[in-house]
Amino acid sequence: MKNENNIEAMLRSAVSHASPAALDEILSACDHEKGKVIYMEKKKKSPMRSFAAIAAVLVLVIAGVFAVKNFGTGSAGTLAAVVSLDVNPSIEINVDKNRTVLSVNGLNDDGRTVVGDMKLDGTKLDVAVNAIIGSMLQNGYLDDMANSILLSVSGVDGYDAEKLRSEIAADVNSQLKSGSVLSQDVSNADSELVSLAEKYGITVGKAALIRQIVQANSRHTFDELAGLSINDLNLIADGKPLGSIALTGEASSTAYIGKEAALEAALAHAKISKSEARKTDIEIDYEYGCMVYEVEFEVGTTEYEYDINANDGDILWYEIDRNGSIEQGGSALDGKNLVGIDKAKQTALDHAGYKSSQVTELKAELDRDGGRTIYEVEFKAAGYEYEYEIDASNGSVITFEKERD
Amino acid sequence: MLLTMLNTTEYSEARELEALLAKVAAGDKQALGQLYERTHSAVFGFAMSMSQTPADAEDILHDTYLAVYSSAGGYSAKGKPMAWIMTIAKNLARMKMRMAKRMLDADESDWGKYLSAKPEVSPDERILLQTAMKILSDEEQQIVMLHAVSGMKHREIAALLDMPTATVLSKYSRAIKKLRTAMEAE
Repeated sequence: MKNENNIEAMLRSAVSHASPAALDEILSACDHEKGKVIYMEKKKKSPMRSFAAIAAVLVLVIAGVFAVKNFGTGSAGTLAAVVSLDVNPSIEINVDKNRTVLSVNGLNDDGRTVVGDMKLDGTKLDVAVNAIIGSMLQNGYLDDMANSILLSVSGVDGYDAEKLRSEIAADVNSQLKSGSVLSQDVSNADSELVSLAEKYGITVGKAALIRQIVQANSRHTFDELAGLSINDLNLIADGKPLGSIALTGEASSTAYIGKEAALEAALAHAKISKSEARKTDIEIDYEYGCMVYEVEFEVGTTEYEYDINANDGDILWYEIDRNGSIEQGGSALDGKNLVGIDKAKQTALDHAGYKSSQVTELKAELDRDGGRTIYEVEFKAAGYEYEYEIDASNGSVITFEKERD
Repeated sequence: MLLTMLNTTEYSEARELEALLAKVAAGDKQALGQLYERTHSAVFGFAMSMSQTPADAEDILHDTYLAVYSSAGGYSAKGKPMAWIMTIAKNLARMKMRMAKRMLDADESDWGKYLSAKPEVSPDERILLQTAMKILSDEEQQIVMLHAVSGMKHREIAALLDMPTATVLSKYSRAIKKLRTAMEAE
């Protein structure tokens, strides 16, 4: 039992030996069978999640290579590599070692729209990629506002996926002059990535990108990022380490108000002129279920922090720290999108297993922790002191502590 | 042109099966027998991977060829006769699983007992099959059977099971690794 070949050959022989001698029975049953209607299920379309068609100009090209030993002889017509393209539409191209396209599959509704009725089987990979990018541009999936594409390549049987990745990435780059191309070799994708990809109905390549972002910034969860376009992910990843993912170009932020406008909104609220502000820092991120600009600056010893809605400039949250005296506010704290302080108290009590009549010193306040808006709930019961952090946007328990009072 | 020749072998295999299917469509039971001889092991492997019990797998095998016999006329020759047969097997198995949601006796689902009763199956082969049924998920079993035993291509399997080719590739290589590790421990 030394290698796959042995396992495969042995499986073949084992199943052949285990298979029952059923032919005679079948043949005699056939006489009664002719003309009967056979139930055939219609093949369902792939249940991939269909994301809203956010115009994504970020084209992420994820090149994933799956090395499978002893698989095929590498002849023409045999699968040698799988190339997946993610923008928001996700498309998978199967090629043989001559880079002849064996098949092209749209993996979500947008992907199927892009592929349409194009006949790409038998064409060369670069021609097919060119046609697909062209269709993405034509259908508005790639434009000035969303210019990012993720390219992932999987190689089969030792096929040189890295070479394929770098060459297609260069092709896509030259076709999308002002685009941003993310590319990677996912030949050795681990099982966690594969199951994340399945769970969220996204490609392994996109799952790899999201996991990379989550690892670089622990305040994000995979769940909240899974529905974002590659362009938004590229924006969030800006300036952060991308691991083995290669990046060219810059994600477009023209769908949003821009850093300057975000800074102006914050300064106007703080009644500070631009020339007074020091140590100004602006980053784009994803919070409160939308893209935000995080704006920070200082005036003298006072520190200002703002989260500005990237779509409309609304001040979602701010904190002004005057030598330790903190002032907070913003529309996210106004409770519009929050579960509410009573619900947070109830959640904590339910979790601890008490009714409000059984506890003392019950208090709760809204706060922010690591980019999240939370309720801090405290109470005492039966000789213990309880402390909870409740996620203000969805009411879930983030952490809790129980200590002897 | 060696590459072309390799392709041609594969192609002619499909052509031969299609020729048999055309005869079956005309009611030729001898052709059905030939088709059965060439494909039943592949179908049975796939049936095993979709069944909880040996009896279910045998039923699926049986019913698949009956369905092939009665609906071969509906096959349109597109060079994928195995995929067509496997689709029938898959649909029959799904119908069966839907209808037969019930508790099983330990004895019913005892593949070891079933395999031991077949003298052609060597002890090593029995252990391999039992291990595969035990440690691989249903989906992994199906992919392994379809590729290793039925010889279907990964992208054909992807189309049949409705998942991306990259997923099939990765699941296949992981399943084989799991099997190899388990067998080395035997």
